[in-house]
Amino acid sequence: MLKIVPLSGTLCDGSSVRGSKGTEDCRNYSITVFALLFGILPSFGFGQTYGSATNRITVKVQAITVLQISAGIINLSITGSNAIAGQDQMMTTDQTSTLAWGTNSSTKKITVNTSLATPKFTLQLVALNPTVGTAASQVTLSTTAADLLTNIGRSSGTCGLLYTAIALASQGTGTDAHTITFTVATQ
Amino acid sequence: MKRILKNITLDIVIVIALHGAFLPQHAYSQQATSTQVVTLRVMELNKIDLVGGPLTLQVNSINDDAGEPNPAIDASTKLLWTSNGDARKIAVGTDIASPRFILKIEAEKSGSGTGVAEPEVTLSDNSPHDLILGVQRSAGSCKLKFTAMASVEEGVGSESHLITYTITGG
Repeated sequence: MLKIVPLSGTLCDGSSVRGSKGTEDCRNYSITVFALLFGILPSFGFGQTYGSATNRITVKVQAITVLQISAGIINLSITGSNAIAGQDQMMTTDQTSTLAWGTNSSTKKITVNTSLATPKFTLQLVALNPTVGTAASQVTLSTTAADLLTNIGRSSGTCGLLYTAIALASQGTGTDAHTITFTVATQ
Repeated sequence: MKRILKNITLDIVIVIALHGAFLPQHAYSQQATSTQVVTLRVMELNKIDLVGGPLTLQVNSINDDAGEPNPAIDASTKLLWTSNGDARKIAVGTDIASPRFILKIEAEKSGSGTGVAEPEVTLSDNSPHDLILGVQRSAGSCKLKFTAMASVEEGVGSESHLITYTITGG
């Protein structure tokens, strides 16, 4: 037996058993059915167009570059344990930090430079085991930017950072404070 | 109405939360540079070492003219040092307070580095004696010439010295 139920009215009568929210549920149901009628049925049943609208969506992807260092501060010390009797040169190394990057631009490289214009001692840096790109040969840090990694275009990757500090006995004692800047630059 | 207000409030909370979560990353992602502070400290260091094993000096011949035993000489040991300090010297000493036989040492300065060799030192007691002066911010080396002497009156016997070399201020 087919029972034709009004779109609103009969079902809404059930509001009496739904407690205080019945009226609101009933209203929501009515809106839903109304939407179905005018939103879906016309497209299948009636085939009539009463109006149209278009919406142009433009997606813009900006050049994004991410550069992150795992450790903000590195301390290197050359002590007696780094010296060999009879040799003028002493050195120590640190490879506790890593560099991570991401860029969606092609032909990019990472350069490095120090803020210290006249360091007393020598500080060198080389990228270790880059997941993407090509590590440049060991760089002696100066205020002029030097290539650390090349060919990193459109990628995200990581590498280790190996610092090598070199001092000569003839240079005596002292402290060099570097602020090392890593930059993603166009290759 | 209450429910609508509640939903709007929830939406605002979600928007604020999303903004708070992503905005810093978004802002950070625009950075093309990153910095790291690297501090290099070179402390004062003084290293000294010897090349050459234990030595045995044997006085076993007599000078027929003088009638005294000939000295035993060895110059096979090399002394090496590195110091980045200023005005240092190298001293030498034995652990025997009053040796029976005479043992002398001299630095034959032919190697590199700063420093001036003192004249031959007789290790007559266990106090330190200057061997090289004027060591300053350098690495250097020299040969060590040991001379052992004994008189006929001292007879035969054996002495074992433990020689200590020290870089000190000077």
